[in-house]
Amino acid sequence: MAGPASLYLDPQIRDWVLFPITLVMILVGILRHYVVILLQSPPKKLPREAVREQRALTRSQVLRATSANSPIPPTYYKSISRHLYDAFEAGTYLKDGPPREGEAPKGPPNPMTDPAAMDGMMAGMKTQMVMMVPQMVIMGWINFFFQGFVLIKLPFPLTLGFKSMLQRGIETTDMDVRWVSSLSWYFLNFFGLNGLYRLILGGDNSADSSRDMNANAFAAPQAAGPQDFGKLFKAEKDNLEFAEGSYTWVGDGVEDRVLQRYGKA
Amino acid sequence: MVQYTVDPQAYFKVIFHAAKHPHLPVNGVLLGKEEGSTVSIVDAIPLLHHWTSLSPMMEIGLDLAGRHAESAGLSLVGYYQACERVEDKSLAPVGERVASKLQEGFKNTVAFVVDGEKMGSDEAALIPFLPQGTIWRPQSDQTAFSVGSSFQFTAKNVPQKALALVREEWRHEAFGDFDDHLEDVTIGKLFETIPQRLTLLQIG
Amino acid sequence: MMALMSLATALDQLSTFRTNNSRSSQETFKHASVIIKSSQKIGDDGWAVLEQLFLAAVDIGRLDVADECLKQLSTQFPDSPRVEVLTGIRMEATESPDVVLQYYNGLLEADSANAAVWKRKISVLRRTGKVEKAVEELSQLLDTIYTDVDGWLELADLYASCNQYTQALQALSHVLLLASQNPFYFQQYAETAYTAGDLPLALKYHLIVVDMCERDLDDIKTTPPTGLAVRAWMGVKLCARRIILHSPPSASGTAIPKSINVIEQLATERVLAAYSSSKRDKSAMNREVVVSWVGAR
Repeated sequence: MAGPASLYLDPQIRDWVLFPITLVMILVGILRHYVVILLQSPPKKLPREAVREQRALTRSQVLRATSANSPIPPTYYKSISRHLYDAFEAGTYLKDGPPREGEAPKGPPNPMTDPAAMDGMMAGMKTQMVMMVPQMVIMGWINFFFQGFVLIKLPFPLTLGFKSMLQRGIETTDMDVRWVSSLSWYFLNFFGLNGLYRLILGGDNSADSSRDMNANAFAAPQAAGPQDFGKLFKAEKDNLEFAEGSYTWVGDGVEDRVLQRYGKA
Repeated sequence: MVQYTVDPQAYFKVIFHAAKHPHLPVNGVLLGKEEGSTVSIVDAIPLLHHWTSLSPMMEIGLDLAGRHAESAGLSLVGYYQACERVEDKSLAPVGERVASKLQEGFKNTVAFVVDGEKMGSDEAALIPFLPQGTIWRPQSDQTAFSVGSSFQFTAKNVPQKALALVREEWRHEAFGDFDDHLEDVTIGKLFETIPQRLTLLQIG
Repeated sequence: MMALMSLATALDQLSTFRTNNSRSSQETFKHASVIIKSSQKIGDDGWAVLEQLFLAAVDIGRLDVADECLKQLSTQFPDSPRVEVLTGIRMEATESPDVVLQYYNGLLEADSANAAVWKRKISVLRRTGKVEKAVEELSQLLDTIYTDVDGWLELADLYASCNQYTQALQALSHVLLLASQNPFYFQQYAETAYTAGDLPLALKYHLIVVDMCERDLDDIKTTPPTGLAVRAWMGVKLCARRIILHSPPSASGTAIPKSINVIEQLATERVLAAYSSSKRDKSAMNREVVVSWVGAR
């Protein structure tokens, strides 16, 4: 191991590089939290037809969920089941009404042409921008002014495996792993400040950017957004038939169950 | 013309029942006896508050109330109901059905609808309905319970006292009807006429 | 009494009311007034309390208090749909139904799927006697938002109040599907079926309620029925007695159980057991009457 004086850090580095980077990152995080709140458009109000289309599936799901021990008597079960089956078949629950005769069934709407989907995507991209831009600026700032700076020495020894994590931007092979470079300090802050934000801004904050790095702006709305309800309804029809096959009424033999409990059966 | 006299106890019970469930429909029956051309209503048996439009528990309640009345030497002489809506003062189809059924057993049956708007005032909050043929009509020719009306209380200032019991003593909160009784058979001392009467009279 | 009640108890009580969705307006008013008077800071919970106090105040007719609450709420949340509904409720207290309906229609035009406003509109329709329109709107609401249990209950009640018990049963069967763990709804279903004249179906459902309520009892033969089970047993008794006497047909095609006589006997035992519990002295008065009812044919 090298002697204690192998590397000497100027206290000015601490005052003018280490603290500013940390401070700037915290402040940017807080600022971003408020910008995101400002940018958030209120949740888009769906018209009745759209809500109906989205929730139509729950009807048959609720019916199916208890079909093996259904609380409703056979005649009522059959009529509800039949009604839903016909409605799914005819597409009554579709937002734009049942498809007309001879019209080709529509595929899933293209997110680029569907204005509703476009709105959702724009909102996602806007927040994404607020996340990315400041991080890029800070990184550029650090790279430009403090490239190759060593900022801090960790008070505990580490194995060589941490070298690439802690000494990013410094291409030396023989420096002690305990020294942390400026760029690595940035990344440590980037991933580690969430706890601090939670303390300052409360649990549900949007200051933490590492979380958004994982979520792709485009992936999220596509999963929840445009769905081909026509296809889903068609699939649900089969489920309904299947559930009807396994239907039993909770009232079947209930008198025997009760009598048995009293030993009178 | 038949005269009706209402005992404070009966009135208090009706008002307590309505006050306890202001946002639910409630109903019950009135007990009393006929002497000459006077029907004196001495007690009320509160029945339902969960729903009044379904019949099984009403049938049981009526049956039980009838048996109790018999054993106490009284008969079922009337029906009362209160609506969840203050301005609704009609004897809905349900009320008419029950009242008509009672009428089969007692000719001079009277039905009362609680007037939600008058419940907070010094006036008597009961609107009497009497049958005309098969239709039940409110008796509006003369204000009920006013001087000279065929409906009278047997004591003075009964509505004021009822209001005071509700507002100041929260008496209605400890009050149970047949619906409550079905949930816990120890509450709702439906058929205990005498003890409740004593406590009420002490205040009056 | 008001002074004695501590702020903490009042807050506690109020939040219980909120979670249980209970509507003890006078109690609420009393508690909430304590809190508002104490003028301590109670944080975000305070707005919920204020809303609660507003509703209670409207309910018991203290419109002055209600107006004060509404003013504070609308300054805090100017565009909140929740406050818009509250404004509507306040209007219902004094304005004519037509004005209120117009207000609600306006809100619905801006946001056609706002269930709270929609429901208020339906309640106004019902209150003003436009039952058919109310049924139509409510059916539409439930067609859109299927999972609304309260809506289905309301629809069942609407139908029942018009003597359309078969439709009421249909509405209730959706309630059962959505809340299949609540015996109270099964009891309501049973009583509706009875009123609709479908006695075998009513018997079945009363038995289902009994089954649900007594499922977890260990020593079933000696424990007297309590709570909803008493009501259900009485229903069983009533249905069984009438079925034995008349053997009525069933609109839903429900078969009359073969063991109907045994069931009737058991119901008699259970109803009597409820009245011969250890608290005999209290229920003694009622007992005689019930015994005579149970024994009658």
